Order: sequence, then C-alpha cells, then structure tokens
Amino acid sequence: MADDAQQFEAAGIYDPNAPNADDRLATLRYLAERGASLQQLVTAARARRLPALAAQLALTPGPLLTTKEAATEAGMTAERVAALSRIVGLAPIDPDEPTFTLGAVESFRSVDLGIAMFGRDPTIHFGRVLGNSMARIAEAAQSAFRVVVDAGMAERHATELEVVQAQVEGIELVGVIPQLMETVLRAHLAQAIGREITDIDAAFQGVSKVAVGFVDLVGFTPLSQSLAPDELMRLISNFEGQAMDAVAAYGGRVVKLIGDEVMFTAQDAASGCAIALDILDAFKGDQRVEGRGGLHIGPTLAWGGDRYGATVNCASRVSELAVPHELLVTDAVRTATPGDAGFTFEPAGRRILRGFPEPIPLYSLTRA
Amino acid sequence: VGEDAKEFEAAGVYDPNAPNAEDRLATLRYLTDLGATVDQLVAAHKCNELPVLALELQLSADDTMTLDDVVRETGLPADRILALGQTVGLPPSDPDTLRFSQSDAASFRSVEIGRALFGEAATLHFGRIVGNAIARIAEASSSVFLMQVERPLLDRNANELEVAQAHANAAGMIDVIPEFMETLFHAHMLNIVRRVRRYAFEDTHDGLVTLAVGFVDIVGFTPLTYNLEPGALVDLVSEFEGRAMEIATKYDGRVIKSIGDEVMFAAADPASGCAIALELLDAFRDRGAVQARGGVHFGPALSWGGDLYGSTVNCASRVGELAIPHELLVTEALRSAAGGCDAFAFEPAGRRVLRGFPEPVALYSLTGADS
Repeated sequence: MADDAQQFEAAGIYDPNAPNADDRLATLRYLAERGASLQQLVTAARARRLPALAAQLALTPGPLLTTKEAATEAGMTAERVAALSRIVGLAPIDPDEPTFTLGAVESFRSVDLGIAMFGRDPTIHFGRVLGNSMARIAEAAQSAFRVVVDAGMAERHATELEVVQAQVEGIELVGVIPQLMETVLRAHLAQAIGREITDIDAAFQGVSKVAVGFVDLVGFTPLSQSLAPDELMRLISNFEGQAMDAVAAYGGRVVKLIGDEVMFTAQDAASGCAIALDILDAFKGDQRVEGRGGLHIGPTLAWGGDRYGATVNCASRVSELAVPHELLVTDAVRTATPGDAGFTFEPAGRRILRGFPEPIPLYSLTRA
Repeated sequence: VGEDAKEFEAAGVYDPNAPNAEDRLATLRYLTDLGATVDQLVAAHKCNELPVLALELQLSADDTMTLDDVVRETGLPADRILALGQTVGLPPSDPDTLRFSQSDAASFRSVEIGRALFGEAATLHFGRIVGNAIARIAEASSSVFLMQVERPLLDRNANELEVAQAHANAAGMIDVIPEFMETLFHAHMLNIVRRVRRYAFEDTHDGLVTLAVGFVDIVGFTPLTYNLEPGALVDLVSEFEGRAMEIATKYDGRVIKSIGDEVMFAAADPASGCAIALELLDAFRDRGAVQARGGVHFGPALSWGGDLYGSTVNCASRVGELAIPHELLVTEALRSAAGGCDAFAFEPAGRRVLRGFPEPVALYSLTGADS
C-alpha cells in the first residue's frame, strides 16, 4: 500500500476494507494534490464535509494572511483591518486564522482614499452596500449550485470523488462571475448617469422625482406555507423574473423584492403604469395567486441604491388597498400621464392611507 | 482664435463674447482631448450636461465593438445578446448604437457556459439577481458622487472645467469598484463555504436551511419622513441599516434586506439571532421619537437567490408587527432552539393568532438576562 494511504488509514479517515474504499482514497488524494493538509482532511472528513473543503481550496489558490499579517501588509492596525472587514459584512474571525487574500489587503488601502474623497460616513455606507450586495450574489451562486448541481449528483448516487470534483469545477465557474459583475456595473452606471441627464430637477440633496410602484401576489402567504420547496422556488423565480423583465423593458429599476412583493421605480408615470400592468397581466391566468398593485409619483430621496420618503410610503399604502387584479394609482400619476398613453383612469374614491393625514383620491387603472 | 474655437462657435456650443467664454473653451478642449466628437459636445450642451460627458467618455473608452462584432466573436445570435442585457436589468436599446468591450463579450460567453451547466431557468434567475444587486451599487455610487462631489463643487461656484475634471476623475474611482467587488465576492464565497462547515447544515438538496430569521423596524417612521429634512432622513436610515449590518456581521449573520424603516436578517445560530435583535434595539433605545421593535423566529426557510422564503419568514415578520416599542418578541421555536443559553431571559407574552397562520403561536418577550 502506498505511503499516503497508510497515513490516511492511521488518521482514521480511510478504511481499505470499506465498500467505498477506492472512491475515498481517490478523493483524499485529489484533495491532497490540491494542497489539503492531513489535518484539514481529518477535520473535513469527520464533519462529512470533504466537498466543502474542495470548494475552499479552489477558492483560495493564493496565500492567505492572518489579520496581523494583513495589517502589516496594508500598513494599518489589526483593529482597523477587523473593523474594515466588518463594514463589508465579513464575519469576525480568529485573528490567527489565515483569511485575507492580497487583493483584500489592497482594497483595504483604497478605503482610505475613498474616505479622503467622499467623507467617512458615505464611504462606510457605500462599503456596506457593496459588501451586502456581494454577499447576496455569493449566496445566490451557492444556493444555485446546491439546488441544481448537488441535488443532481445526489439523485444519481455520484461517487465522493465526483461530488468533490464538481465542487472544484463549480468554483472555477464562479471565477467568471466578477467579470460579469464588471460588465453589468458599467452598463448600469451608464444608465444611472444617463438618467441624471434627463433629470435636471434632481436636487443635490439627492431628491428626484420618480414613479414608485408596488406589486404583490394576493394568496402567496398561505400558499407558501403549503408548497413543497421546489414548487415555492418556481413560483418565486417566476414572479421575480416577470417583475424584473417588465421593469427592465421600460428602463425602470427593481429597488427591492420583499417576499411576494416587488418595489420598483420608473422615470415617468406612463412607464410606471405600463410596468405595473405588465406584471399584473403575467399573473392573470394563475389559479393560485392574484397580482395587485399601487403606483404614485413624486419626489423621493435616493441614497445607497434605495429610495425613501413619503412618496414611497404612499405608493406602498395605495397597493395595500387594491383588490386582486387591480392597479390603484394616485391623482399625481393620472395628471403626469399623457392622455394618449393608452390608459384609462377610473375613479376609485377617496381613501385615508395609514400614516397620512388627508384622504387622497385614487384611480383604478386599466389599458384603454 | 484657434480653428477649434471657430468650429465650436459654428456648432453653437461656444460664444467668444460670453462672460464664461474662456472657461467654456477650456472645457470643450478638455472634452475633445478625452475623445468627444462635435456631435457629442452639441448633444451634451443641449441638456446642459457638458461635464457629465467627461464621465461618459471615460466609462465607454473600451467599448470598441459593435453588436455585429460581438456576434462574430462569441458565436451567439444578436437577439440572444440583447435578451441577456434585459436579464441583467438593462432596457432594450437601439442595436445600432450599442457598443461593447472585449470584456463584455467574454461575459456573454461565460453566461452561456453557466446555462450549459445549470440550465436555462437557474441561469436567468442568477443573472437577474446579479443585475439587481449591481444596479443598486451603481445607484449608490451615483448618489455618493452627486452629493459628495458635484454638489460641493457647485456650492462653491466651481467653473465648468473643474466640474468636468471631477467627472473624469470619478471614472478613475469607478474603475476600482470592480476590483472591490471581485475581492469581496471572493471573501463572501469563502465565508459561506466556511459557514456551511461550521454549522454542519444538513444537506437536504431542496434549498431548505434551518435558521433564525428576524425583523426589526423603527416605530412611527412614516410620520418622521414628513418632519425630517432629507439629509436627516438619509442619516437616520443609513445609521439604522448600517448598525443592523454591523451587528449582524458581528454574530455571523446577514442583513437579507432593508425595507425602508425595517431590516430583515438571518443567522444560522438561534442565540446569535437573539443577540443581533437585542443589540439593534439597544442601539436605538434612548433616541426620543425613534423607537425600534422586532420579532425573531427559528425554523426552515427556502434559501434561493440570496433571499429567504417560506412560512418561517412570514411568521417572523408577523411576530415583529405585534411587538410594542423597544420590545423583542420571539417564538417558542426560537426559545427552545436557543434554550440552553443563559444570556437571555424569555418572559411569556401569551399566545397570539398571526395573520395567515391557522394556529395561535406562543410568544415570549426577550431581554438580556442582566437587564
């Protein structure tokens, strides 16, 4: 028997007489070739996490620095390194655990540059938005992998080696995501800048006039309690997909998704109306859930990629009043929509909105 | 007078007798050096946005390929490329004016590789998530620039050339964002892989994970949005969201989303879920009109696209709605999961019917054991 096999056996992670002995040995060798230490193999094998170890090794081909080493490299204190990594959403780590890549150290340095240029609070808030968005994309990548690739492997009873290799291939594919993000960022920046040009009124306090819409699915909550996970996943993906496509088609932006609800903005009232009606239309034939929505237009405060202010609250409250299949809009939307835009505004009474002092007139919107 | 000045004058973007003539000429020359055509100058001048052109020129410096070039380079049909644009959140544009960089073409190719491995639906969904998350970063960048750079320049009556130069410099700052994103994305992937090991999540392969899900919101926020100056409102929501993210991170949790005056967070460990909510409430305890409250539940949730779904999430949200100011309400499920932890005191708060749930749920008012 080879030396390494004896070592694995002595460490208690390999049994030459087990039915899967060949597979286990091949897996351990594959991981050892990729730089796993015996200690790492033992810890991972005991926790039955050999595939996760493969992913970790594939993710960190370069050297990793401890907090102290990163601090020395970046020319700052260890406390500052820890504080910066908290800002971007990274969990606290044992200061002696090798964690930071050289790239991370490099980016810590440029934070000070940002602070000098934009001030402390805006830079820190931006760092948080960035960290939170990256965490979201990373989780999305991981859950897609788990649900699509891992599940497929489990179904066809793949060997341990195959599962481990799939992890490594998956991580290699993850390597292309940053480039995709850069492409998408540049395109969205061009959009955001182009928007400011049309938006002369945008005050420098960050206030700009946009249409804000909310659309949600009535019946989703009780349904989500009873659906199997894969059915729920399909329903959510379909809702989010329909909403995001409709919003993109009219140059708007999905500000956030809140379970069965989407909040979006559009540059003008007519685009906002078209987006909301398109989403409602997409769910017209659905037997299980029914869409409804609300739309308002007015000044909003743009900050950290989110929108705030009374216009947002009003739009949200208006949507809560809509009946299934209905899109309720405010008088401001009606006035701001050109007469030839192809919409019909039917009076829907005056209503008191929670948190608002005066009743406001609402209209039920349909396509003319 | 130089040849170019005559050309600018003929195009109607320069008047040698205007009071700001020198500044304007310097700006036009600066933009021309950056590669602006006279047509671009005229168009930007028309909407009073000459300085912004500096940023646009810098950002599109590498966009040398037409749609046809990308089709040739990638072997993908044109409508496929345009559809990919929509998936990541971009509106349909005129195919003749679209310009792409080499790096864009490479991205389109890698999406196709993803499609082969993960299938159409999962790839499209992932593309939308990426587009949405990145659009938020783009908007956040644009707000920071507008409020922290452009506004101070205009406040001190900076001349047009200075403003144009600031825009060109902004492109330099923007260039570092992708590096940041790459580093952070990488670090977060590693974090997730480690977390999977740390908490030994069961491999159910159906996307379900068992964790603590919490909601904390600012009571009476809507009236505040009328009374506060926009700047003060920004400060309040940034502080609330920022504290939430910082505290969640401290306990290895994550802010899943902020919904105006509300944050939703999750943590794998039930005691961490309690600690995050309590610390966030504490951070907003002595703030006069600003009062926080929250709810936390523990159970299986569907983890998909970086978000969480299902009845555990709905239940946590409903529980949060029942809390009074400064109160943290938690469910029986959370109490038993965090049971052994003597850092917390669970005081019975009755059984309540939650909207959308058939059975009443036993709730507890949670405090730190020493408070």
